Amino acid sequence: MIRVIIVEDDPLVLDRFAEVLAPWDDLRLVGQACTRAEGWLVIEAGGYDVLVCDLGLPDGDGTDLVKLSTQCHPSADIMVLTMFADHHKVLAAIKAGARGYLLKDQNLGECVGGIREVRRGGSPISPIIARLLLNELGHGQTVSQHQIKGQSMGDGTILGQSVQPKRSPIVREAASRLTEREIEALNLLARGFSYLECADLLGISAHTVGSHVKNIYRKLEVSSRAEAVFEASSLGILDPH
Amino acid sequence: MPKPFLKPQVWVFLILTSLACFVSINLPAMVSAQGAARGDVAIIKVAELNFTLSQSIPITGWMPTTLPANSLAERARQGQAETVNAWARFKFDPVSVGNGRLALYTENNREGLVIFLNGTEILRNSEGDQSRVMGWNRPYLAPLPPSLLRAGTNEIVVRVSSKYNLNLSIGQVNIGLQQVLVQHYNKQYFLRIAGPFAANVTMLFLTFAVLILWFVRREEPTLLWIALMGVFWFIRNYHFFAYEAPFEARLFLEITYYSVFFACAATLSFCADFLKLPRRRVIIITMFGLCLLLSIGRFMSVHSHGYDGLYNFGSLLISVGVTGLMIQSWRDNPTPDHPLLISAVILIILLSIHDLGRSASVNFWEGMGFHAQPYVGLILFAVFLVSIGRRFVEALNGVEQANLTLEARVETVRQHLSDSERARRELEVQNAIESERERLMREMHDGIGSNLVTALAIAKQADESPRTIHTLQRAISDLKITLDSLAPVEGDMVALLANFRHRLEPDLREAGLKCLWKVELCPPLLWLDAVNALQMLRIVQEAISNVLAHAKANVIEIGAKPSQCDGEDGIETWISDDGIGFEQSNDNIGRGLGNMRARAASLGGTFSRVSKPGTGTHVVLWLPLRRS
Repeated sequence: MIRVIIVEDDPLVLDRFAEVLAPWDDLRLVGQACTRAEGWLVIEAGGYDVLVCDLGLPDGDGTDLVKLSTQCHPSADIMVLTMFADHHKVLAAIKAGARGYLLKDQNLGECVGGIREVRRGGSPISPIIARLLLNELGHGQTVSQHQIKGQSMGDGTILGQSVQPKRSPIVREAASRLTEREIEALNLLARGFSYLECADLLGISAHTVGSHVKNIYRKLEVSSRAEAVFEASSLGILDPH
Repeated sequence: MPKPFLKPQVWVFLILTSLACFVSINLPAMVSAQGAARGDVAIIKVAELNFTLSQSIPITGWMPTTLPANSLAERARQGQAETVNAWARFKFDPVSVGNGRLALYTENNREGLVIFLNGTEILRNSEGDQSRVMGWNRPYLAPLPPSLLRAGTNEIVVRVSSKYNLNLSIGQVNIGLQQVLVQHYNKQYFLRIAGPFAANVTMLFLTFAVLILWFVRREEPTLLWIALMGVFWFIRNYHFFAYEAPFEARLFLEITYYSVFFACAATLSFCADFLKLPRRRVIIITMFGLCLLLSIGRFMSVHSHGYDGLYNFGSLLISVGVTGLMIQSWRDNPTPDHPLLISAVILIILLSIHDLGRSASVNFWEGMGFHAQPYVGLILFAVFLVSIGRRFVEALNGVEQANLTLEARVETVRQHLSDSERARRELEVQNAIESERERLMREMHDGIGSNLVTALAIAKQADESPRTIHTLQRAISDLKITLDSLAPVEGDMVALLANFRHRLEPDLREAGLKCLWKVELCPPLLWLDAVNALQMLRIVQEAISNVLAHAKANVIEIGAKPSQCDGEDGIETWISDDGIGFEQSNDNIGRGLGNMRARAASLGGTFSRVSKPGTGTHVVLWLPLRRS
């Protein structure tokens, strides 16, 4: 049984969402809210496994709710509702603790699969987000790697070190914790291969690809939190002791 | 690298040239000092000697001798006490000398000197025999008054006197035309007295200057060594030009003798330190140790056999040894100072040999007719000054060069700074534009996007016409690719293409189209900014929606790979389907083609489409890696 709560200001979406979940025995909508303030109370109250959260709430940013949920109920999964999965918002949400996103413009019926998947330990990702994550975590491709010609599609291994953007040492450290396998998967995903294609190329299951992505999301969250701490302490906001 | 003041070879040349000039100037003096008989100068060789201790010319006791008569003290001391004296007399005929005013020239007399012509005193260099007068190096010229000269034979008597413990000699006497002897006298006076005086006073002045310099810069021991050198050489050289001993004559002369060892040690220490010889501390300590040993050796030799035992040769040998070390150091680590100082030291060694050869105890030759030693200190100072001058010029050049370099560097840095400042400003503007564009797009996404999505949902619910639904879908799709084009993917075209595929996946699934994804690793298109990315995505969107709308295909293949077009590197993107295809002449589709071609051309690329009824459609978009 997966207990779901939703924070969404559009009543149309809210209704559709309830409708979509209703037929399934393994999913139950246990709470809903239309504003950030309401959402705050619902999240604090707890008792859910998956939080589905819109980011553009009338009284504030949904990202705060994501953070709150991450803090109060770390075991719950968070999926953000987004119109078009725009990279800017999705990345911010992942850094705040989200583990996936649901697209509003598509058939909301697909949400069911998404919620089940995230509970099973997998997360969705788009190629652009994969590409940005590679950069963000310091594994971005360089021109020289591109110049290696005739590389097979399935290879996907990142050769050599990339020119990394300047980062705090903590973030570097956290970023370096991406495993070889995760980097391979992320590279293939960034190049547009679907989970199934990725799984084929890497010789693993599609589900494992999903959990790689979820792990990567978690690492991004950790490293961005570390970076925030680093920046704060280097600015003298936080006392390191 | 500042250019050296002058090349070492030039220095050697200059030194040799000046040496040659010096010798040639003095050649006449040397020749006449050698005693070449000339018609207008008579060199007196034959005379009579007398050791009677008296102030007036003795009548008896004359014995034959030759002039010059050196080392008379031993004989004079028999029967004389406290002061010793000796007399010499000879005769000459003025006619045999020459026509004109005559004069007497004499040198190397120790120490007090009185000269009589026909019994009348015509020259005296001291008052009484107790004076400290130093006559040994001083030339004397006495005009012979015509009133005292007689026709025929005339008699000259020379008396020399010394303190009991000093040397006694009667030097060389010339009689000749005054005008000739004056010249000779002047030359000798200059080389023996005035020259050494000037040289040593100058050296003493320089010594004080260097000493002051050393007080200011204690970290330069070279300055101390050269100052010490100057002091010792001055002490050593004072007796060459002093008219009188400044204090008790015997003590003064002893100090004079022993100071040569110290002057030598200080000189060699200066050389070692100046050329930064390896282990120079050891060399310097050894120098002073040897100088002490030589002093003790000489002292003992003089006191046991009354003979100085040629200890000066000891200093010469040491100098030669140190010169060897200097030459070694020149080979190992040459500087312009090496040839300069080495040639100076070799010159000094040669001059010392010359002087030793004409010293009273060796008496091997007359040499240049004067002692060169008084000039040694100044030669060393000259080398030091030349080197200092060279360093000064080098330092000035260096500073000028450094200034130029610095200015150039400052200019470069300033240029860089202004460049980077300009770049920063441009970037700022660009970032502002970008972020504003992104903000606008996000607004649209949030506002228009959600309305479009709602509209689409309503349209579908209300079973609106497929055209309405299609238009709404297309608007949404357009919004999506506009959003994607803003993603900071750094020209990674594959990522944009991939994202498009990702977004399209539900539609493809719905249409029952199987997608073959065939992308290879591709280099980034660095010129692919948001505007160009949108252009590129629109071409792909158009191509794929054509497939979705018209092709009735089962499989769509999307791929990208690096590829050359007309020898230019680029990326080829293709979209193929196995659909029904179409006639190339189809106007409707043709218009779309022109659109896509125009878009591709605006990106600097090419677009082509091949299709025939029944064989599907194959479109290719080629984009260059670099755009001019």
